[in-house]
Amino acid sequence: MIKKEADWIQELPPNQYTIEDYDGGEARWCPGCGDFAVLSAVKRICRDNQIPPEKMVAVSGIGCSSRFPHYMNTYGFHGLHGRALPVACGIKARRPDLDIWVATGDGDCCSIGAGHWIHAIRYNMNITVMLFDNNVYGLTKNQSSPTSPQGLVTSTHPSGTWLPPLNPTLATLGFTNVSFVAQTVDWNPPHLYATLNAAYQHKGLSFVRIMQRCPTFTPNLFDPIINDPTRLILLTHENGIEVEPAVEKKFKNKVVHDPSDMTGARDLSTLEGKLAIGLLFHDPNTVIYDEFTNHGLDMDAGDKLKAVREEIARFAI
Amino acid sequence: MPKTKERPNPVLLPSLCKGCGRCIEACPKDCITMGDQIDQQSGLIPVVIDYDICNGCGLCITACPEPYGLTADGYELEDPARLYGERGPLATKPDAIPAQEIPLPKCEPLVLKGNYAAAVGALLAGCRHVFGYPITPSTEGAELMAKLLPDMNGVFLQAVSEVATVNHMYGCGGAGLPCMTFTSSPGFSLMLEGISYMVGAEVPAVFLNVMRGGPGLGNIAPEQADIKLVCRGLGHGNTHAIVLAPTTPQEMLDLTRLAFELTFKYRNPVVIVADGYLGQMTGRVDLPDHMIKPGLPDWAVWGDHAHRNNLINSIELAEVDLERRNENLNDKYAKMTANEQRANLFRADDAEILILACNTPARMVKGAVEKLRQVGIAAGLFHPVTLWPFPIEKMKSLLGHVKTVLVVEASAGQLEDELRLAFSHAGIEGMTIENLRHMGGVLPQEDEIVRKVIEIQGVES
Repeated sequence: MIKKEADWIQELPPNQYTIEDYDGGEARWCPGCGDFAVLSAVKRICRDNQIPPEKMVAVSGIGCSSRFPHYMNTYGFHGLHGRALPVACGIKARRPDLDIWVATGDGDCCSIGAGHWIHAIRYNMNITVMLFDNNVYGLTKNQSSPTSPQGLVTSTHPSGTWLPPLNPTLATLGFTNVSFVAQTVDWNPPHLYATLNAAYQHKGLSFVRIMQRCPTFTPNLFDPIINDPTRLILLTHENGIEVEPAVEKKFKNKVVHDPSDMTGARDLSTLEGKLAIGLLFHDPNTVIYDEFTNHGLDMDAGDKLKAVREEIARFAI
Repeated sequence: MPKTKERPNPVLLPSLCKGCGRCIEACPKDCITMGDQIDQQSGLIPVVIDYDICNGCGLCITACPEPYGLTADGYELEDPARLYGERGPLATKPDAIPAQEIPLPKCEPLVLKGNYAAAVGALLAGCRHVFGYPITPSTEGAELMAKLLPDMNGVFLQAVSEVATVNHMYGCGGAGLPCMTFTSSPGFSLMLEGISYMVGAEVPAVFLNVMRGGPGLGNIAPEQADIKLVCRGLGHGNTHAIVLAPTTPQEMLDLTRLAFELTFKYRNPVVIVADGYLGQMTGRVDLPDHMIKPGLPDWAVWGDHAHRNNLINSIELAEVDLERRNENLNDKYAKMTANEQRANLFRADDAEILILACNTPARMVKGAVEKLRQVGIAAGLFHPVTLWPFPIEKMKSLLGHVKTVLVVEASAGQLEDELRLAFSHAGIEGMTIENLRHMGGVLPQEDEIVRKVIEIQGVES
């Protein structure tokens, strides 16, 4: 693993991957979009873990964030609206050797893809899921999303959204076989990096909700939290997400939270007017479905032929 | 006075007992056993009760899941009339309440985007229930409805997906209310399952599909590649719906109004296909001289006593029943085919080259026809307002002077296929059919159409 200092080291060993190896097309999001921060964090994680670009698949659904695979020079899969998770599970089911990164948004995952979301968490395949949550539909220009705060004026709710917002972390914590739930923000790149890196290291489905502002439609969404540092709570624990001491020092409000504590995790994901970032829940001992679905990958042609013949023989008269 | 309370024995109706054995588990005296005789009526084996051992504890009665399998002997049911009052009369056949026309004052023409024009048309047709999911290039219709409907005793509901949308419409249409959605190609694909159910259950609704480039995610530019889908592939089974194809914002308004009339007339969904440009295009729109106050059909699941017997469903388990339902649908399709063929003609009365086009390409054709006429070429536009049923009768009336039909479209021949199918069914043979096609969001241009016609003319002369 190469240290982060490599960012300014000019000469690397020739057999090492650099950030440029992961650069895809020129990213075209609005200026100031948090998606850029996520893209850059993911590229650095790829570099720091030396993931061969051909061993990684970026999978997405539809939405601003779902442009993600176009901007990575890895394998990419720009799928259907709401179906990023089934596509990712489909790949992982038979290619456990590939690293799967899913880019999905609050509309993609929590609205049209909500059914798939529940079962992807339960499947718990070894993939990294990034929920880009900007609380609004940006690509179709300012419609309500399930996570829009109550009263947000959008073009489909001109007098303000009526319903209270869906809480993606709380919901995920409630799904059977959940193994890794973390929350981070787009305006703190070191924490974003540390969280996504921890998610990548986890074996099983890691679900990371990335709170972000849409610079076009919800630019002031998190102003109360950004302007009052005591409202942003850093979760710390020896089993949690480790950030550099300099970054940790900047947080005015820190809470020690054991990631194996489900009740605490639920409380921390339902704070009023505050936002807890870090590892909410981690269970390293869950059932992983791709360990079942990859059965037989090591069989050679002779083994397979033998199995088929034995099966056919059962129908002989 | 006897000290022991008289307890009723359980009474078993063998023909209603399925022999599940729950009473056997419940009986503390082991007086119930599984029988060995098949009941003649039910074909199942009921349990047997030994009344010599039974002490009438009644546990088997509470354990029995059949409403009338095991009952208590000796209890008279309380008279429901005493408990709840006199029962009302049985549901009768409800009367259909017809829609009313309300005159509108004359007003200045509006300048509206195509999507907005369709929304205004729907409002004037009495639609106050709109369901939808954001998708470019159709979202503006839903956005206008979201703004207007709450003040008009109506509702716009942003669904969680197009699958939810179509089922909201299935429910709302089943209640007899005029409802619609604005969507675009990928969203329309998701609605197909629900549309098939709505055709089967004969539920009215209006779908506006602002077609965009495909297949798959494609792009948000105009295409006409859903024509096959809306004319031949509305979900599974024997389905058809009237398909209307506007070419101007004015027609977006007029045909949306017509769509609501037709959807209730035939109790069948109606699809309007526009394209990306038409949805976004701004144009002059004149309002009609009246609006519609919707009525209430007699088949509606309306939630009052008169409509009590209504049931919305598309299931027919018996093969003969399902065949009959399909025959009824076919009769309906035949009526639509006979009565609803519509086409707009432009200088087609003496045309030798007839250009077939709909949606935005028809506008280019209109310009091309003008230019061609100036250089003395007898070209004309045939704009099928209904893509299904194809207006073959109108086409037939022109074939005396038409030498060639040129199909101009933004798809790989889907409109041409409709023409060829219509010719084939009508037994018309030997007509020369030429085409000018574009895909992916590229539209046929006026000059290109002119050149194509001159080329055809050159070959012919």
